[in-house]
Amino acid sequence: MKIEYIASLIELFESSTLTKLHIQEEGKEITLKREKKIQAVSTPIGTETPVFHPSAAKQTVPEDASTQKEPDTIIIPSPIVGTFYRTPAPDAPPFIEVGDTVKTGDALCIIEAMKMLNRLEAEFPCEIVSIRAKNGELVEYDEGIIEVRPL
Amino acid sequence: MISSILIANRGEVAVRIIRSCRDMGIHSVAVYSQADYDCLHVKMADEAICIGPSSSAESYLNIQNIISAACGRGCDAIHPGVGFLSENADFAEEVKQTGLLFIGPDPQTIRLVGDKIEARRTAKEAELPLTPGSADSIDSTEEACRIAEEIGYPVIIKATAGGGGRGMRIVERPEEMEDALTIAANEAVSFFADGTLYIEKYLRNPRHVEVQLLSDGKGGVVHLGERDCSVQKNHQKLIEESPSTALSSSQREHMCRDAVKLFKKLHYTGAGTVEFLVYEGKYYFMEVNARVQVEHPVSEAISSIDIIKEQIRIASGEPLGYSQRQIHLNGYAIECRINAKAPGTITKFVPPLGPSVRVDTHMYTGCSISPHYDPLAAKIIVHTDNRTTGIKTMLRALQELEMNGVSTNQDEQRTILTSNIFNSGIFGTDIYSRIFQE
Repeated sequence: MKIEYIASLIELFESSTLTKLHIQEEGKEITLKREKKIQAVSTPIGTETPVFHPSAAKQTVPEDASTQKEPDTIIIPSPIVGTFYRTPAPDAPPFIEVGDTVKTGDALCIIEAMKMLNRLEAEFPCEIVSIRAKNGELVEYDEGIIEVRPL
Repeated sequence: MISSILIANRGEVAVRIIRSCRDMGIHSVAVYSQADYDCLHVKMADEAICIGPSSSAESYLNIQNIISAACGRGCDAIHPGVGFLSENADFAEEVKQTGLLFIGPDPQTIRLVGDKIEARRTAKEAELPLTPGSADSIDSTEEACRIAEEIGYPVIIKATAGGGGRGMRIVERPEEMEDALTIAANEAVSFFADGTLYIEKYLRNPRHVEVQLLSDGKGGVVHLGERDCSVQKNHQKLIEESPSTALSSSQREHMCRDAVKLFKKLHYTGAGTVEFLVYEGKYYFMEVNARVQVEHPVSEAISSIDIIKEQIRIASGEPLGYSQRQIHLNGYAIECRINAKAPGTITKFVPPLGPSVRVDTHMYTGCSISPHYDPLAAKIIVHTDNRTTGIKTMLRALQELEMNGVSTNQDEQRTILTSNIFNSGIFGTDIYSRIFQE
C-alpha cells in the first residue's frame, strides 16, 4: 500500500460518517477507526450532584478512564451500580488509604446494592494512587472509582 | 406524591415518559447502557445513570443495577416503559419490596394475565366471549387431538407463558399434532422457561382490535375506545388506527364494556389493554397487556387524555376523578411506525410538522441506531376528523419525514396507505402479505 493511497483513504474516511473502515488486499490490511467523542466531565466525581438541574444529565456521562490519570496507573471501574463505601462498617477504619500497597485479594471497598454488600478486591498487587468515588455516594456502572499503580 | 421517577427504558418511550414527567413537575432520572450514552433520553432527563454494557440482559434488564440507581438517586418510583421489564412480575415485586412505587399494575395482576390459561379463565368468569379451546393445559397428543376434533380444525397451539408469536403452532390436521406439540413446547421452554401449552380454535385472517383502559384500583375504570392493529408484519404492528373499520357502533360498545368488566374483575391498577380478535362479525378475548403500549398515542389523540400522566397519577394512589360519561372520543387517529432496517448513524433527521401531526421519536441528526435494541425509530401520529383525511395527512407527513443514513420502512408505509385494500377498510391481519405479494 502506498502512502498516497492511505492518505486518500484517511481523507475519504474523515469526510464520511463511517465509524470503522477495514480494507484487506494483497495480504496487507488497514483499519481506520473513529473513536466516539466522549464529553468532558465538567464536574469531578465527588462534588455534590446537582439535583433538579436540567443539565445534570450531561455531567453523568461516565468518565473516560484514560483521561486525568497518571500514565502508569490504572483506574478500577465499578462493576455494578451501587453505593460506594470505603469502610467495612460505619465506625471502622477504611480498607485503603492513598499511598497504601495492597496484595491480590485484599479488599478495596464495598459497593452496596439492594442491601447486599459487595466487597471489591484487588486483582493484582498495586499501590493506591487516588480514591475517586466519595464515601456513601452512588457509583454508576463502569465509573472509575480507584486509581492504582500496578506493582 | 411522586417527585422523582426513574425511567427503566430507552428510545422513544423513555423520551415520551420524560415529557410527561416534565409537564407534571416531576424530576426524571434516565438509565442507559454504554451503547446509549449519547441517546436523546440521556440528554433530556434531569439526570442519567449508566447501568451496564450494551447487551440488554446486562443493562436494561439488570434489575439490581436499575433498583440501586433508583435508590441511590432518591427516586420515589420506577416507570418500566414498554418491553424490557414492563411485564416482569418479579421486577415489579422487587421494586415494591424496596419501598419504591412501580408505575404499572400489581405484581399479582402481571403474573395472572401473563399466564394465558389463567387470563382466559378470568375472562370467562367475567363473561367475555372466548374462542373455543382447552380450559386447561394440554398433557398428551391424544387429549390435544380430542379437543381439536371437538372445536374443529384448524387449531392453534399456544404457550401459556407465550407472546410475540413464539411457542405458537397452527395445526390443520390430526397427523400434524404430535410434531407441532413438540416444537411448540421446545420453543416455549427455551424462550419462557415454561413448556405448558394449550389449544384454541385458529381464526384465519382475523382483525386485531384492542381496547385501551385506565383503572384506578378503587373501582374507577374507563376505556378510551379501541385501536385496530391489523396491519402487521410477522406479528409486529406497523399501523394502528382508531376507530376500527371492523366494528359496528353496537359491537364497539359491547367490546369496550366487556373490557371494562374484565378490568373491574381483575381489580386492575393502572393503564392496560384488552386484546380481541374480530372474526366473521364476532369478537373474542385474546389477552391482557399489563402495561402502556407503543401505540398509546392513538388513544391519547382521540380522547385528549395523557395516558402516561394518568399512569403516574394512579400509581401515586389518586382516583381517576372522572367517569366514562366525561370522556369524549373525537375524530380519527392513525399511527405509523417508522423502523430502521439496519443499524447506522442518522446523517439527517427532519420530522414532519404541521396541523394534525405528532411525532414521538428519539432520533436527531447525528444520533446512531444501535444493533442491540428494537429498530423502532419514530412514530408518526395523525389526528383528523375522519379516516379519509387522516390517511391523506399521514401521507403528507411521511413525505415530509427525512431520515437519512439508514434505510427505513417509509416507502413500505406509503405503499400500504395508498393501497386499495387498506383504503377499503375491509381486511384482516394478512393485509401486509396481500399488498406485498402483488
